[in-house]
Amino acid sequence: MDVLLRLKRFDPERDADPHWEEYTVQADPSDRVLDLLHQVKWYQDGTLTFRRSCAHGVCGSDAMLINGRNRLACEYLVKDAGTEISVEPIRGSQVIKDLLVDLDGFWEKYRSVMPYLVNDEVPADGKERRQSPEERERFDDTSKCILCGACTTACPSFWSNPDFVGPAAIVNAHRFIFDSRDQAGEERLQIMADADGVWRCRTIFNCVEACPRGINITRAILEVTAEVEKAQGA
Amino acid sequence: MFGYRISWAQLAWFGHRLSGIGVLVYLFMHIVENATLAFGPDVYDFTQTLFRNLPIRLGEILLMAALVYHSLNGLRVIVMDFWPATTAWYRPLTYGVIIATIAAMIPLGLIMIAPYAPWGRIL
Repeated sequence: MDVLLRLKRFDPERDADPHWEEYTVQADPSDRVLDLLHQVKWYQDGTLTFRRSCAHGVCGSDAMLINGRNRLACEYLVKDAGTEISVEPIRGSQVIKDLLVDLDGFWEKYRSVMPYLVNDEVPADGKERRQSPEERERFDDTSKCILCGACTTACPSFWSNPDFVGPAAIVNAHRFIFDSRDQAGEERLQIMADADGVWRCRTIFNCVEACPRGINITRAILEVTAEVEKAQGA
Repeated sequence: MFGYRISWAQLAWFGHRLSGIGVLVYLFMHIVENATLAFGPDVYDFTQTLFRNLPIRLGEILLMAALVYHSLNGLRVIVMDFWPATTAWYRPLTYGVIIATIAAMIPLGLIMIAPYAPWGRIL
């Protein structure tokens, strides 16, 4: 079948503004949108620029705004997308070229929540820090994040205020705040309590709808908010 | 926001903002309307006559809808704030708020429009 692919393209060296370009590509219903982008890049226009790495929904590098919603190009199938597919770069970040955006700000916010286990004590048995299945379950959902940025760049609060730390960073703070082995919870809660922290969430659920891993992000944000309030004695 | 597919939950948030602003604008108008009492009964009575007509009544029905929706959706947000686990049902909760608002506005709208409707006298 033929698929009409509409791509929002932008070359900073040639274009003043982004513009739409159309390509017709041959596809099977089981093809992924990423396969169509490959077809364009490999056989029609080698200048098309986009980010992708594993191409199997694990690395999270090909989040794009496809048919009006953030998704992973490597997970969205033609049979679900239809025969007319539009692809734009994710919003809220500067476009470097075509579908490729500058994610430096995104990573900076991710780093700001200290997304690593902090524990300087020697484990009781000298070998490992034990955790019960229930303690592990507490942050199971947020441990699924692949840092694709689909949630943060789908969030209207982030669009209107790029300083908002964003759903992805909060999800990764949640991952460690509720980890029984971690000792930097208070520090993370202080970061979350910032004016541009958890308070910016307006429970719009765009993040939840966009997450390719099916994480209940709003729940994680509200749980972190409740912890922040507890820590502040509210 | 434009160009991004609008979900019901996003629409619910937008409606919450819009109804909130609408009710706030009415509140200011209401304060001005009541403040005319300070200029004597004649001025106040005259102001009241300006508010007794069909277009204003239709506006009041919209105001009632805004109040009902804003209250119900506000309760939905509060419930999710206090019990984050309820976010798992955000879709049915959102639909519930919209359906409840419509269900409440059918009798309320009929009662409010009655004085201006031909069948109004039977109510």
